[in-house]
Amino acid sequence: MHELLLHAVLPSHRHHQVLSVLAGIAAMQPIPISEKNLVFKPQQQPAGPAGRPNPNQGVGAQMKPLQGQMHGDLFYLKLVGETSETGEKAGGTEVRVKEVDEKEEGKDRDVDMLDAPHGNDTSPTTDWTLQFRDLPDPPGRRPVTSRAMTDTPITAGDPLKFMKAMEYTLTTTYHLHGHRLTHNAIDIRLYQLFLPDAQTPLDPSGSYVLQTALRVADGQNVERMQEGVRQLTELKETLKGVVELEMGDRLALDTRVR
Amino acid sequence: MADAIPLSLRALSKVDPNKTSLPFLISCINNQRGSFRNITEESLEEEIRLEENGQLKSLEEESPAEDTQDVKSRQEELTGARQEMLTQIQQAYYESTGALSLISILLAGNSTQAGISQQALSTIDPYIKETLPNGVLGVDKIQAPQKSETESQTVELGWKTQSLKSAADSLLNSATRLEKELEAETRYWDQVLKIKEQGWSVTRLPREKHTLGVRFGFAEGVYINVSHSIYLPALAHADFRDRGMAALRRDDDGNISLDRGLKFAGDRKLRVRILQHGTIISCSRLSTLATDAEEAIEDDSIEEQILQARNSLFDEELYAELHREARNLTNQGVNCIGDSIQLPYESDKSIQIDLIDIDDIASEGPGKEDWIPTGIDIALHVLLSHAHRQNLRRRSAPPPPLNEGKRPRPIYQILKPIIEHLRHRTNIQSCTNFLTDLTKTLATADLTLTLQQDTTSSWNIPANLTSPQTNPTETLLQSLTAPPQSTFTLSLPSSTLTLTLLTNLFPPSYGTTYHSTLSPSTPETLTAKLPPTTSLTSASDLEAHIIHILTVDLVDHIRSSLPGWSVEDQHTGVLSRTFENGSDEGGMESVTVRVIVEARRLVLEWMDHVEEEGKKRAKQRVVWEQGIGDPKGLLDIVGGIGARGGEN
Repeated sequence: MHELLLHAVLPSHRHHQVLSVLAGIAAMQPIPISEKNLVFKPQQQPAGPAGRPNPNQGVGAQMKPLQGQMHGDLFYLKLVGETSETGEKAGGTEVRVKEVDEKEEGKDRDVDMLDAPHGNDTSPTTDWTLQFRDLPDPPGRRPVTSRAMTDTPITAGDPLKFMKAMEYTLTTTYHLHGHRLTHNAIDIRLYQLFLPDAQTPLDPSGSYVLQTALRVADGQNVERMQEGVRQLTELKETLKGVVELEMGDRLALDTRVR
Repeated sequence: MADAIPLSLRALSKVDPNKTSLPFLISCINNQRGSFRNITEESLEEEIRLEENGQLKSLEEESPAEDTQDVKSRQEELTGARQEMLTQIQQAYYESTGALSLISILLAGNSTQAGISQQALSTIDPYIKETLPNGVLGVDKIQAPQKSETESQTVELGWKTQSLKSAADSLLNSATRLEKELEAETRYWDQVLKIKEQGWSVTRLPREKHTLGVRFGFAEGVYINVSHSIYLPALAHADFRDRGMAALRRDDDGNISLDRGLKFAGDRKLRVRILQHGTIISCSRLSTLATDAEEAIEDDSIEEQILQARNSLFDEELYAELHREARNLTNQGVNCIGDSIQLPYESDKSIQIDLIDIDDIASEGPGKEDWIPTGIDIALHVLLSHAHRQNLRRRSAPPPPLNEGKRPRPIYQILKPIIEHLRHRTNIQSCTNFLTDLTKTLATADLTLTLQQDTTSSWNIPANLTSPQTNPTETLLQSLTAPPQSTFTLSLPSSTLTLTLLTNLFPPSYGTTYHSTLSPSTPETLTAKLPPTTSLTSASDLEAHIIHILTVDLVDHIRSSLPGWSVEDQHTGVLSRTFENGSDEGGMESVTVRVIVEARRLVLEWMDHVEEEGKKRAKQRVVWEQGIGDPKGLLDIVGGIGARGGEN
């Protein structure tokens, strides 16, 4: 699957206004989202078939010619848990995570973080998804950021144990709070990032990130890709003067392990 | 810098138009060159040529030639002048003679003094004197008009007043016109504001940028959603794009009017009617169910028009959706005949749904059961609203990745729940009738069966309608859209029979399914040997099934209540009792009874011996029907038969 993206940064005082504009364009009320993001790093180079499964596997063979020089690179994986769609519940979960953190302060941070989702977040309200994002395609071909991606929903079991079994280590945890809208096939997200034990956003200025994403089932299908680019640029034109949507920096979106 | 600007500070030389006129030029030429006779082409050419060579030279060369010509031309000039002088003198003479003659004729004819008259006669031109008779010209003195200063002042003042008046008039006219315009605009904007205050969305028309429009279409309806075209076929899209909006136009008086465009062909309304053998027996009457807020709106007001436009649009969309769905429901007996949709209803009736002009509604008188079609009408509207809500939910969900096929617009389920509920209702009715008849019949035979009925088990009515956690509308509507289910519980003498009716138009049942569950009171009863659950698909099968169970149960009841009787065949209801023959041989004799259960009667048959004929036996039977039959109960009679056999 391919993902087409455009990004923009929004100062916090314009948040309400832009959210209203977006609600008008999408003709729907914004839906609050609250996500827990756990970033995992592969422990070592895959050794043979028993090692880490190649993350490119799910993407398809078409990835290989595209990034021949990257062959053998290791990528971060992200475990995303959508805690709840109501802000109230999300807040509650957050507090619980914090409590756990405080209680087990003496322990290794790694274990601490593993315990937190294990104890509280894997409750039935949390839907976990294992996300892989590739390095975006080199710029120039399209006026939008495009990258290969896969989302694997985890329907049962303990996702953390699974990651551990795949020899992945948890490196970073952050939370995402904001709103989501749908406009035709475009998923619009306006959000802020938080560290798990912080009450203020990760960005001290309190600015929001506007992300418009469109998924295309087959990245090799030129027609569909063009259609996706058309829809995104159309939205960009519509939002001209409100928010300037732009391509993200390719290297800032790099997901390779250094 | 100063040189760069070719600016002249002098006044521009003015060309006098008189100096370029032809008479002036001719006089100039005459002054400069003398008579035209002296000017020839050659001389002029010569002059030009000389001028080109140099003015000085030309002057030097010219002077001797001019000197020689001068004398000659001077002579001619003088002759000419003399000639001209003479001509003018002659002219003056003629004119003065004419004037003198005129005065003389006047004086000669009118003078009262003879001397003057004589003198005047002598001075008349002799030729005129001969031609004209004396006294043909008359003269009279009249008062010449006197233009005084005050008079001209008055005229001036008059003109001034007149122009001022006309200026004032035109200003006043404009003021009146502006005032009228202002009034009209105020009225228009007041009405627009009133519309806005009522919650309608007032926007600019997409096609006419300078006209206001009101949007009354439904956000999730097909007719309005331009941006969500993935659900729309291209044709419908183009046809219905602007149907959800109408222009708010202003007439000369400022009254607002709704312009619905050229395609507008009158408001439409959905009508539901019930037909029995082709005759209409009842008709929906939604218009009588207007809310208080709607009633408060005056007829023909703009609000009423907008409301009507909205309702009409909703009904038209509903009708289109019903047609779409009806085509998929032909297996359920739904027909689209001409412009109407027909649904089967009960055994001999049908429901007809059509779209009519709003003016045709009151044409028919009230029917006897108008609440049924009215209820169906309301349910259809509620279900379309429900479908709209689901549309919103569907498009609000995270979008699926772009793929080859376009997402087709789903067919709404509007007729399906209606048909399900109607069919369910009919089936419940027939089932209730059957079971009630059965209970009554058995009660006549002194057997008590209790029937409990729960037809609202599938109704999921939320306890707290104002709770914010759950959406009460959705919950309530789930009861309508979910397959209807009803339960009957029949307590038999030795067991309990539970019947569940479930109506679902989708596979595999395509109709009503009857699930029966049999729970015997003890494991020893005969009914315990029957299969505990059975699923049936037709009412006649169900009746046969119930009768079978009842027969078995009655057999078991007789066996357990009356000692001595044994079961021959529980499925056909045959029991027998063996007792000693009254004869000396000490042989055994048996009597057999058969219980026959039918829907409306209970029959007990046995072979009894006839006293007179000795050993011969004859068939006896007792029949119980509802309320009539043997006053004794079934058990009493069977007990009696057993006792009689024993006496023998």
